[in-house]
Amino acid sequence: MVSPSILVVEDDADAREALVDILEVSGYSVVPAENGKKAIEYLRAAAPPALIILDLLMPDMDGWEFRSQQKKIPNLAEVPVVVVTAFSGAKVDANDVLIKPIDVDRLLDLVKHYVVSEQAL
Amino acid sequence: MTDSVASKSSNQVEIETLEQREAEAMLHADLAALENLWSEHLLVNSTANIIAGKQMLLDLIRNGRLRLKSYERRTLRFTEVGNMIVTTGNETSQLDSATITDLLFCSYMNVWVRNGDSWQLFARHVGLIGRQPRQA
Repeated sequence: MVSPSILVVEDDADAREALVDILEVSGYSVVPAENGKKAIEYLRAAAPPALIILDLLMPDMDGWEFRSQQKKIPNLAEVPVVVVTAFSGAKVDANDVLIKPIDVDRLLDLVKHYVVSEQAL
Repeated sequence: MTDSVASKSSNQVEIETLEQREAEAMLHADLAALENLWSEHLLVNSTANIIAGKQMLLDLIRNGRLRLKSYERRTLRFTEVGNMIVTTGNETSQLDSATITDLLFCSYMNVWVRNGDSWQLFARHVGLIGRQPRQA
């Protein structure tokens, strides 16, 4: 059985690699992207992921613009998004928001919730 | 009581040894040693802005996702109260990673708590001071 895929969009290489490692060790298939632009390019060419984990403050295309673009693509608009950000006052349209530093237990609870929910549909 | 490393209690001498033992265990991915040195309640706030507990950290090491090419720790200050000792200092490390190859200069704070006859690492915070590009 192929494990559900998660797209991690994060410009900080240390944080991106740590998230990928944690999610893969936890049994998920993960695709990393270093900004919103790279993520949209990937999504236009690949099957929709079960979940997107999205940073907000990124070069080239930030998280707000990514969300705007994502919602314009019919088969991607409903993919759940968990925003991870240090910007505690951020206003963003997302299914959930985690403030950095990211509590791994909370992150994995959310991943499990959304990935299971998506698979049940 | 707050002390520099120049005026240490016997507990602080023991903790200084454990600090070096724990760093060696991390460098050599010695899971058995880390199992003993780390409290079941260990919480680590890392330079990647990730808060992880003991089992996740052991899983990352066990799966080869958290490996170090070099690791040096210098304890600069101790503070001791009851069954707890807090240490702080600096560390230099390089991940054994194909993608992140920089030499990392960090500050750290460790909290050691006595558990029966031994001390265990209970909490740890690491902050990035700077990084220097290196070859993989």
